[in-house]
Amino acid sequence: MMMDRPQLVQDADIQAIWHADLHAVGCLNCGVIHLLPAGWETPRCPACLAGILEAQPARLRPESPEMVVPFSADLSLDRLSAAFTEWLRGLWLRPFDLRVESLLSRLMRAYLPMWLVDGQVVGTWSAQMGFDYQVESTQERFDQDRGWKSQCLNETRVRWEPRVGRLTRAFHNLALPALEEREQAVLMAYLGRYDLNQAVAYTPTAVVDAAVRVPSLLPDEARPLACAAFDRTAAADCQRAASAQHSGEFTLSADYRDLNWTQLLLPVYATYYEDDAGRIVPVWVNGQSGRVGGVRRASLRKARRVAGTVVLVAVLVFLGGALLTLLDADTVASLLMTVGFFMAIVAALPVLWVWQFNQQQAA
Amino acid sequence: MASHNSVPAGAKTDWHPPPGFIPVPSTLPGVEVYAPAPKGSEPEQRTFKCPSCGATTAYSANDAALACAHCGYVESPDVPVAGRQADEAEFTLEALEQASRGWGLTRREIHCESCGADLSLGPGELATTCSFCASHRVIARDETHTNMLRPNYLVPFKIDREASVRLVCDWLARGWMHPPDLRQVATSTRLSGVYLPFWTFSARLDTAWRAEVGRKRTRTTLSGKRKTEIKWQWKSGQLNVRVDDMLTPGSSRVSSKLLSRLYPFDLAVLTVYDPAYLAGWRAQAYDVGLRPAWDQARAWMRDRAKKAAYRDISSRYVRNFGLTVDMEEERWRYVLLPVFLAAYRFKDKVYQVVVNGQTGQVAGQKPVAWWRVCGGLILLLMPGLLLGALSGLLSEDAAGISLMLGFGALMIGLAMAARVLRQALVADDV
Repeated sequence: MMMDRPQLVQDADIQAIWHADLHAVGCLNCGVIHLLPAGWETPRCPACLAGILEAQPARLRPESPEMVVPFSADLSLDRLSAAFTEWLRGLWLRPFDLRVESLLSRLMRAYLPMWLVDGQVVGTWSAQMGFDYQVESTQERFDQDRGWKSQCLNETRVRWEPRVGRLTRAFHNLALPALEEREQAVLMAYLGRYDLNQAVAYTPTAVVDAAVRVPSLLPDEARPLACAAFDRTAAADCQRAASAQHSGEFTLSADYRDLNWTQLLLPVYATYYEDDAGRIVPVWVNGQSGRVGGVRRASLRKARRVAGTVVLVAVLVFLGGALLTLLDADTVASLLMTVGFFMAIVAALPVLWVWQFNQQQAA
Repeated sequence: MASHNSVPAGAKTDWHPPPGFIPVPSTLPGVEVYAPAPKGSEPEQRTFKCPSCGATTAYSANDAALACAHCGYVESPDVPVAGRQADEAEFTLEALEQASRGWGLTRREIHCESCGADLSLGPGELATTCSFCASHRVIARDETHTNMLRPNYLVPFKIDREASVRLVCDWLARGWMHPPDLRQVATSTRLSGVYLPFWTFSARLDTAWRAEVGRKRTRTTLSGKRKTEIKWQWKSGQLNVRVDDMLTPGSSRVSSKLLSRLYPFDLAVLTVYDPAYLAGWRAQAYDVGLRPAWDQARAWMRDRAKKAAYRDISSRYVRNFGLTVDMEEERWRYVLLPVFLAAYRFKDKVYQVVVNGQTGQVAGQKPVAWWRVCGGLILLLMPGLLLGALSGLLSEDAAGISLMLGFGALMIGLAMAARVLRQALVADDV
């Protein structure tokens, strides 16, 4: 069942491997490959949401995914609507297209890929293990009327001791990224954590109405990540084996054997809005937890419009003040001119706020 | 998502743990754990025999080594001197619990490999000599009390038995206020060298005080009178008091008052505990646990902090005094210190004498001959009384001088008598 590198596979083979009516497409804009179910209507790429998809072969492993985290049944349209409303809260001066209704109407179901790797780690390890212990300390109080009073205080401290040993452990289903590092990091920052304990075995019905992203990080490229994950798991195991509460300076000299790669699919809703310039801005929803993520852009156009209105009012107030000067109503005139002057200054604030907000989002 | 299954150990079979590491239990299959071997994993008991002639060896205070009395073989224990830098332990709940167990009252049977006799050790005894073949043995590890704290350090004997007997004889013969026939008792006094258990305690006392402090000041009233009054003001202060290596006896069998008179012990020669030092000597394990000893030490420490706070105030007028002492860096050691013990009987009463086995300081109980003390007091008061009486017989001028001299002599005599009386009471009170 193992092979070192995924092979280019045509649609007929995909259907045989995945036992589902899927066909491979690529995005002309971002180059990402997806598997789309039959009847997939929108031609928009579920990754960048800007590009148009066209058929092309995919580089796939010769087995179907092992596990799938299912879309949460609790995520109804009402729940998603509430999640978008919450996400947009506090965003003043939104682009005209950034509305809950638009986001809901463009929702697409998709799966993000992760690698699941099995393997055996055989090696030697050393670490400083920390063991908690309790120390009794005392506080004495003296009062002229009541004399001495003692109070015992227990304090937890850590005793560090060296430990070494051998390790021969098999690890199963360590989840690793299957997308390029930066994209994976950005997506996970938007989507938050998935509870992988709720993953179920793959069935073809899971992908009948969702696009499936094809891994862009091949197993060979993900091998260092796998080794690091094995090391982390081994460190935790060694700490448990030594009955320690803390560990540090863990070093492992090991062979990583019999690595077996399969796929895990994570559910995600993809949608988008257009900003002032008509650019597509993707928005993601964690298909398990309902967490919404993406770049929120404020509308510079709206800000300018507000600023213009305020300036106009300011000019009118100022002119009104000037007119009153001619009528010798000096006090009221100077008041109006001052107000007009300050309104003109304040008029710049919406533009400044939008500019600063968009800069933050871009960062 | 990750699951773990154990698999039989495979590769890396040529790997060996670093020296001094031993396997320890692992809670996970497939993971072997090695830890540094605990110190002091030694045989249950050690017997001391001369490698040269096979006779029994004993620790000699004169040679500061294990010595054979038959062939003169000498072997220095290969043990480092830790001094005051010797490791101190924290007050872990585990240690406090362990120390509270004590030795119990059971006697322990040990088997003498030299002659085959079964020997019986009293509660808390760490070393013994076989009554049949005179071989010395030291309990290095007690299977029945494995959880009991072991001494970590000791101060070896520097004075041998003969020297200590001479010191006790001199001490008994000293002083006019004791019975003269005490000198004869001295020659028959038998001393035994015992390593007695002590706890050493160190701590930093973070002390904060608050009190109303009075300052005396004089002012002139409207009527022109000068009036002295005390002005009270709330003051506070903080100070750190450091207590290092405070000794507290771990044995209740010898009067702590008596032992305190043997201080100081020079802890700069504190040596890592080795059973060789106990060969030929008696040694006692603690029967005053860590917690009661610490309670005693703490009471002393907090009083010291209180005195330091009063010194810090630097005024005689203090009221509403309050003090908080936070004990930090509290540490302890369990050590054995060398002491010679003797008991002698005088006129149907038993008296104890102790000798510091390191410095030779002697302390003990000595009967007071009260008739001698009374005689001494009379002698001290006599000159003043005689001069006073003499004034009645002399002419008016001379009587005045005699009366003044008599009064002066009586005052001096009274002061000296009070001092003598105090010494006698202290000697009788030990």
